[in-house]
Amino acid sequence: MSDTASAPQPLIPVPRGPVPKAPLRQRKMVELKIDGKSVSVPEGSTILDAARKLGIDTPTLCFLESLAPVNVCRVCVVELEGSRTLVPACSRKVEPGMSVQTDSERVRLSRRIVLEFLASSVNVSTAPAFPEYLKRYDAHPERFGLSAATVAQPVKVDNDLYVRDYSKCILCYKCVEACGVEAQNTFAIAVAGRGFSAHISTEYDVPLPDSACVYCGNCIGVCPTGALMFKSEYDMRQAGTWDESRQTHTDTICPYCGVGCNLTLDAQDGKIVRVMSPVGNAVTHGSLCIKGRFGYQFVEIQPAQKEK
Amino acid sequence: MELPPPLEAKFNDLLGRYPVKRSALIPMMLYAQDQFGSLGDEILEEIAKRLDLNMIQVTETLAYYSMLRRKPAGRYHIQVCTNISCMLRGGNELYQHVQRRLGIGNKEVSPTGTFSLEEVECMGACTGAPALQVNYDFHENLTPEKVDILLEQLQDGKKPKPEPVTSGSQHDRLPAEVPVISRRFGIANSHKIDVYLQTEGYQALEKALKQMTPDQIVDEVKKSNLRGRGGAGFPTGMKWSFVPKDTNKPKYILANCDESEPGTCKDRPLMEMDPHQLIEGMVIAGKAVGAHVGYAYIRGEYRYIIDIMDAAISEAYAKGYLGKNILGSGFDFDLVTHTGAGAYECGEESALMESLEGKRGYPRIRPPFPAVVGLYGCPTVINNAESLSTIPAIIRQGGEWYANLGTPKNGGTRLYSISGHVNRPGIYELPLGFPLRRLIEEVAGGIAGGKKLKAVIPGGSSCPLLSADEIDIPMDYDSVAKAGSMLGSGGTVIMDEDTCMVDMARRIMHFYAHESCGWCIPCREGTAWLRKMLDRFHEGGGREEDIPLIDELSKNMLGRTFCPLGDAAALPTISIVKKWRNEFEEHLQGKCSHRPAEVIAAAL
Ligand SMILES: Cc1cc2nc3c(=O)[nH]c(=O)nc-3n(C[C@H](O)[C@H](O)[C@H](O)COP(=O)(O)O)c2cc1C
Ligand code: SF4
Ligand code: SF4
Ligand code: SF4
Ligand code: FES
Ligand code: FES
Repeated sequence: MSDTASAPQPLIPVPRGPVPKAPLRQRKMVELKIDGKSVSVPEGSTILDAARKLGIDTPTLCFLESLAPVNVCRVCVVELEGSRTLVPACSRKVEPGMSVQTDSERVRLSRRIVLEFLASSVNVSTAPAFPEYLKRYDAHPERFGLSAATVAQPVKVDNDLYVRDYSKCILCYKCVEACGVEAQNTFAIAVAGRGFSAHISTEYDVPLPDSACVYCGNCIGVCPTGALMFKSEYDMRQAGTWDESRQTHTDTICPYCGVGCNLTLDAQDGKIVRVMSPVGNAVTHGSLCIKGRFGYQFVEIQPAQKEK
Repeated sequence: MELPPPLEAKFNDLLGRYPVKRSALIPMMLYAQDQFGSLGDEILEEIAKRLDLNMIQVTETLAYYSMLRRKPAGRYHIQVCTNISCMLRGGNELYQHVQRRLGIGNKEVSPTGTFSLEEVECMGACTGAPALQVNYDFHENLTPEKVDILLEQLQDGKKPKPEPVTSGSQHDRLPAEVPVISRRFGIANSHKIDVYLQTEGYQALEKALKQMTPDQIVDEVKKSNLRGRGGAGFPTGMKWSFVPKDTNKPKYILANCDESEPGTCKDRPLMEMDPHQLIEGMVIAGKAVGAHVGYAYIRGEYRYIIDIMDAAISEAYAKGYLGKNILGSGFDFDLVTHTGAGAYECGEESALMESLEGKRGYPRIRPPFPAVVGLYGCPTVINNAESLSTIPAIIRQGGEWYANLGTPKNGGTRLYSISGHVNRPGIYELPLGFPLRRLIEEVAGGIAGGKKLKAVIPGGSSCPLLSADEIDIPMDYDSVAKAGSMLGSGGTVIMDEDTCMVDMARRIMHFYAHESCGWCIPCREGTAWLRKMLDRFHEGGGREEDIPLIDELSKNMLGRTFCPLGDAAALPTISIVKKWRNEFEEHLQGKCSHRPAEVIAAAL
């Protein structure tokens, strides 16, 4: 996992006195060259880690520090000297003496096409990373001609907590991983179909309330495109009242149980509209349960507890 | 849920085959579907219960395999192949004929429930094109008239006779042929152990178990210069030597009998007429690498072959060629078959292992390679059915003998399934290095109807196409690679001058888009886009800028996808755009080499 993911600023009261430090394990360092610059990172790091250390911004879509790499979007590919094929930076481990190009013509074209593929078939309007990526790689999804096959479909609004809009799904499998072996162990959702018809589905495509879902919302936390969205956010977007510039983000601890999960409360005009947990957090790794994720109404019921 | 006794017995048999219960999932679903006609909630819940799975694990797997269905098909499920070899010999017309005749479309059921229809991908009957399957029965070399008779018989409740053997596999030997692995083809009851034993069967096993050390076996295979017959051509002996010796994990031998590469039907006759040869090869491979369990992963459409293999395996157990202490040598080896359920991608070695573990056929990230981390996370040798069938001859007659049949670095012989516009489509065993021109003109009898050659697919639809002026090459791995293509799977497809190459590119892309597992974005989206563009082009709606765009998209799939299926889709496409660009340009003007101008004009 990444050594460079910036640690969140916890608002936890830190105990006084010296905190014992775990002895540092000596890890061998590996030296390689990226875009002509030398960099040295611990053995086992990925090319992505090394690039980040150099401050090179490599686009990623299907990669998340807290999940095993699935290696599917190929938007992170880089050129590796001596390799016939472009290699995915997010999962390719560094080796001594590697020489990597992250911004060659080949790399740019390859990234551009992946972005064009996605932007032509998927609604990427709420995917935060997309507008900048599309600009950076000069992607023009419309150039493949008219009548793109798309994954357009109606939004699934089948419960009060969150909605699923698979017309925005790029199939990065993060939600499946978060729900299954990697975090939640609930196995409510998985991939059905094959090829272009592959899609995320519950068993027999039943509505969420009939599925095994326990509403931990961890899938929402990892979704990079807004396909999975808090119902509160969805409703506000529908009503045209969602406005990130009016929002505050407050880090706190979930009050429900002794685990002490870190929460980030997104509030607009003083009302909580979304609850997330930082992926880099050591307690939660981004995961919460239904109480921490959705059980925030009590805040508003209590006598005014003004933030700030 | 109470199951009918035969299914109950089958389920118990399947459960006993694997160290991990989930492995039985796909076979259980397929056999249950055969029993009930489709997979309803009740039976799926029963299967989940028996395998300790939750429902999503069952349904996600079900939704991957094209043979598995939730809704019933007709009593007779008619599956017409329209893939390249069949297309070249009237498969599309045949499919349309059946459609008209039954009055139903793709994946529809007739009102009485007697018939259902499906347009399917290559079913391994390319030398008998055009072909169809009625449930699991093969019917080949069809014409609309023959199909009418067939459908009438079915309607009347009669059972039409299926094809006795793969078309074109039994014929008078040509002087050019060197029958090594096909030498029992045509002998009566060659699939029976008695016939096998009368023809030097299991002698190699006796030698390997009693006179040779594992290292000596691997060395002999190395000396033979046998290269994998599944497609990639990796040296078999070297592959075996990668299996770690000092491990306390179990090891596995996998026979890749998934044969789904369009234009390829050579593993089918091998298993059909000589199942013991494959079994013997697998046990020897087991001895060579220290494995005691083998699985033969056979594509689901080949049900009658699975039955032949199962019967041969029982015979081998009964005579002590499988099981404990084989031939008193102290070596144990267990072998079972495993059925696929309709997925080309499951022929890819790591996807095959996932599938054998009862999951969706998604490929795995490499390294680690299967020799070290394979099936159930254990060291695994995976070889094509033909590669393994070659082992007994190599051990019996020596690696050097085998190597000398071929050319340097390309040992021995291989089976070609030659299909398309030739006079004698069929399965022929030729030495490596055999000239492609002679293969077409002499072995396959030249182009049918006195027409001229236009294009050749050397070894399955994943290979770049060669044009008529590129056929003066020897058919060995290195020479074909030098000519810009691949020897591939031995599925040689011949196209005459009237073939529309735009149509060819279109049909090939349809296959890969249908078979893309959907795991990675460049292949999932790329094949879908290319299919769309090629359809558009073929129908006369192409744009000038589409020609370079098709080329660019294909080149950008090449080497960028998660597994080689992306390359397999891109390579033939790139070669067609490069070599027959003029035909794309002609389509822009409404011309097509195989359709009258009016048809295109109408489409425009
Ligand atoms: C998409 C795809 C499909 C494949 N299908 C088959 C197949 O049907 N049969 C086969 O033997 N090999 C197939 N292969 C090749 C296998 O991955 C593997 O290389 C082969 O089984 C190794 O055996 P060999 O070394 O004896 O050839 C396929 C590869 C890919 C990428
Ligand atoms: S909310 Fe939790 S349990 Fe439900 S689908 Fe998402 S990750 Fe799975
Ligand atoms: S719903 Fe979101 S997290 Fe899940 S696969 Fe689609 S894009 Fe990825
Ligand atoms: S290239 Fe990607 S989508 Fe295509 S079959 Fe391989 S893993 Fe699946
Ligand atoms: S971010 Fe590396 S493959 Fe998706
Ligand atoms: S059986 Fe039709 S192409 Fe192979």
